[in-house]
Amino acid sequence: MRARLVGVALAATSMVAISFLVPLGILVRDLAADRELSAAERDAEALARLLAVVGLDAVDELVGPVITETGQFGDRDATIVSSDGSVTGDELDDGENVAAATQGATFRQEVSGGEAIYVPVVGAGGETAVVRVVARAEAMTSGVARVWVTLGLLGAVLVAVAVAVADRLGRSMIRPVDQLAAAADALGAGHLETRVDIDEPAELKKVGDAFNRLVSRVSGLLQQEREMAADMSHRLRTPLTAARLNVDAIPDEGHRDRISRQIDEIERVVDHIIQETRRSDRQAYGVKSDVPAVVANRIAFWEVLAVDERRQIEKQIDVESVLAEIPEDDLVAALDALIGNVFAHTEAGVGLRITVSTPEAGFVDVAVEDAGAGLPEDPRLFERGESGKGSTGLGLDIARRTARSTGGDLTIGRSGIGGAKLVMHLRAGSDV
Amino acid sequence: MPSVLVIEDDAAIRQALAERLAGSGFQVSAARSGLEGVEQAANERFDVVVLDLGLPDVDGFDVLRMLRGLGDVPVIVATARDEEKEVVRLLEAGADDYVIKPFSATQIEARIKAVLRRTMDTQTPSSIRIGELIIDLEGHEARMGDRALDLTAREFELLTYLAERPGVMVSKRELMAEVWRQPYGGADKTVDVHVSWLRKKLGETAAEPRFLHTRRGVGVKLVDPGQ
Repeated sequence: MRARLVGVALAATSMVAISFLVPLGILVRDLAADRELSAAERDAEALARLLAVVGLDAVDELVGPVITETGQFGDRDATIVSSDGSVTGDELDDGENVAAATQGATFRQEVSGGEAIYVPVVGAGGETAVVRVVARAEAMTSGVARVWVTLGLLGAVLVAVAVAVADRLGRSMIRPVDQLAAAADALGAGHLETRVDIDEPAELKKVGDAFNRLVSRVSGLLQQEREMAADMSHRLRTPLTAARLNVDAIPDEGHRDRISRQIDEIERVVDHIIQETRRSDRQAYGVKSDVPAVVANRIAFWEVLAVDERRQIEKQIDVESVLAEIPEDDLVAALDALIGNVFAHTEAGVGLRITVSTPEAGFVDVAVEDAGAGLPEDPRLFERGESGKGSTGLGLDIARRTARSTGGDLTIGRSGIGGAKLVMHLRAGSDV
Repeated sequence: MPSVLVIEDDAAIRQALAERLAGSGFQVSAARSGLEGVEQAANERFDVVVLDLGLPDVDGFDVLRMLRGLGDVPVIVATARDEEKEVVRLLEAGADDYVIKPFSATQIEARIKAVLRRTMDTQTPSSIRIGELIIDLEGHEARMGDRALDLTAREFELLTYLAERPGVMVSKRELMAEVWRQPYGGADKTVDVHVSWLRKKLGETAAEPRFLHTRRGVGVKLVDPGQ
């Protein structure tokens, strides 16, 4: 848009400059020619009056000295052709014109090197002499080039100023548009705290204000939704308490355990919803975690349980430090969910492999593999309550949401060591 | 027989709690609203009050303040909210203890007994000794013979909770509720990892346990290896 504005300004000012400067240049050229011709005519008439006063007989004595040996009268070539044909001053090569002037006509005629003025002078005895003064071509265009250059420079300066003003104007219009575009991008990335501050132009200020209102409304609705979800979840804890207390009173142990497990699952879902709403509340944009460091820390945390359960944890961290835009608590929760799933759903003694790698620019992968039986290939695997392993599947959901919050995803596959392979594909920030 | 006043608007919880506590030897009175509970507490002396925060007539915090105004009856607050700021607010308002919903009958009973122990001026030991393991409750440190154990706060609480119940298999649910003060939420692996860390610091392994014995899917108990 900015380039287009500059282009329009360039075209418009160029056309205006050309339409004014070209005629002006022609006018200047014509004025210069007219000025020289007028001067030549004045010289010719002066010489003619002089001849008429002193008489044609005194050309050699009285008029001859005012014409130099090179045939110059003032700055111009001048010639006097007497009635007897003798020539004083510049050499002649246009006898026909002189002959025509002898007939009594005053006229102007183009000659080699310029334009000649012919003025006849009639003597007392009726004889006719002719005065000829030449306006040279270089004199008729003298100064024109300098004026043209000046006009050209003036035009260029005008165009440059117009382009500069248009560019500045364009920038002032583009800046708020850029700001709006950046804010829209940030909003798309989930930065709900994004606002724009546009003062002018008035039209874009209106758009900016509308954008801010829209974001506030979206934030308010999301906050409302989170609060409602949290409130509903907290309320659910009351009937769950009643259920839990009543289950404790069931005399049949098998029946009691079965219902108790079902209540456990409902509790997990309720707690998960509450944790998710808290996660959304505390989500701070720009907070980054050093993925390899957090993974190493969690491996150290789980390693001691692995030893107790005779599990081997193979650790492969190929990168030193990669930042992902995610709060450390969330990354820890996601990793614990994946690693905890292996401990919860595989037999003691089953090994794990945890790797951190950067398979492509801008991403870091955290893979948790196990040597167990693997997960079923079911598209509903990530849905809550559909883990296929008899659990709620919330662990996978936590890991998936965490990965997606960075712009990545969670993928599932078969591990090279026999069991399942879960990969958190996280968008990386920048290396530390 | 200790007397308990249960202030709870949910009939199912009120009835189940009353039955369970009565079955455990408590003399139970129940109130279905905040004002009714305050009235009962004003007219009768109770050893402990179990107060639900979400009451229909008066805010639970106001009821708590009214009870505090009436006397020094111990109050255990039952709340659905487990945020730290909420818990701090409760304790600052005068609650003696709290329990997060959903809780089990065993859990609330254990809390009532613990509060009663404290308020009835029962002699609380300053340390617990189980074999070579010595837990200094006042100094908040533990030793294995002459060797000081480098425990985190959570590990110390876990060890103390188990040591106060030697030989009793404690469920992960109970540990989550009593040590972590959090709803169960399926975080049993959190308990497992901390037990493993504790075991490591006690200098034993799961294959050759001495103090800590776990039973998969049931819980964990702390025993004196010398017995």
